[in-house]
Amino acid sequence: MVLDGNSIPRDWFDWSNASVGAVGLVLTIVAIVQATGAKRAATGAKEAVWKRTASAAFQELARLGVQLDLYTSAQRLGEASALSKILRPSFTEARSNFGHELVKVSSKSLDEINGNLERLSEWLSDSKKFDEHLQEAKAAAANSSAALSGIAGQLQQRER
Amino acid sequence: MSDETESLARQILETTNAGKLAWRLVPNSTSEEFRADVDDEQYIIVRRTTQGDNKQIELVLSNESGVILQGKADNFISASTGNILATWGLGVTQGAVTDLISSVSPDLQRFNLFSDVFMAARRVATGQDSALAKFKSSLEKVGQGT
Repeated sequence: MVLDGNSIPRDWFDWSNASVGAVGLVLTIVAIVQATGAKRAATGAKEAVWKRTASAAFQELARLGVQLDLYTSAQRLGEASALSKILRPSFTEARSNFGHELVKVSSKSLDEINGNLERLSEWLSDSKKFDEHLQEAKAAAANSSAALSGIAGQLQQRER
Repeated sequence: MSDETESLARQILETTNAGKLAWRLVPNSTSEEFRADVDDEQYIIVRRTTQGDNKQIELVLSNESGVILQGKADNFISASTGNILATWGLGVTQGAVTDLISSVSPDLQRFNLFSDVFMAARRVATGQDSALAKFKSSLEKVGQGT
């Protein structure tokens, strides 16, 4: 070791630099670990919120579906038609937004719901047509309602 | 009294579906009305009155001396029914939905029964049933011919 007046020994300087670097590295690793954990937590929270939103959307659709079933069964065309006008676009929107959450539901089932709502809407728009297709209209409303409540139930279970 | 009307409504429906009652249209300015003669003295009238979404179906069994039995059913849905439906449980089967609707609105079952009688009477009176039977018969003949 060579001491030159008041100068700091070269080895000390090297050790000091190395120590600072090591501490910096450790702090960086800790920061990365914390950031990764935070990111994971944020992603988890975002997914949970998304699942909850999907579940709430389909619960509302299921509730509308049961009401539509009731009013169709009671042959109350005006009220049923009004519900149908809300339910159809809401279903299309929910399917588009939350389609990937519906992992246990086949696209065929979703197409069936859409088809039933479409036919029902047409029959509800005309009392003569409705009378002619009364039993089919009741079945379409009942099937849609049951399918929507089934999906809402599944999403509610996944949310827990 | 109402149970007896419902029991008779079921019997009338079965008899109509079996093609044993000849319903005919009765001109009426305020409602749709059909009549079927059971024999020379006794007859049945089924009448549907519509005002907006409200429908009332009346079933009247009469003879020459007057009305023997009369029953009405309407499609009114109470506000409490709507409240029950707003808070019901999810993830149920179709049967459970039907049961739910029946339980919250028992009058609806009666209305649907009367409606079935009305629709059956109308099909017969307008010749839909006989036209369909004739079509099926013709189709069978065509099928046998090939």
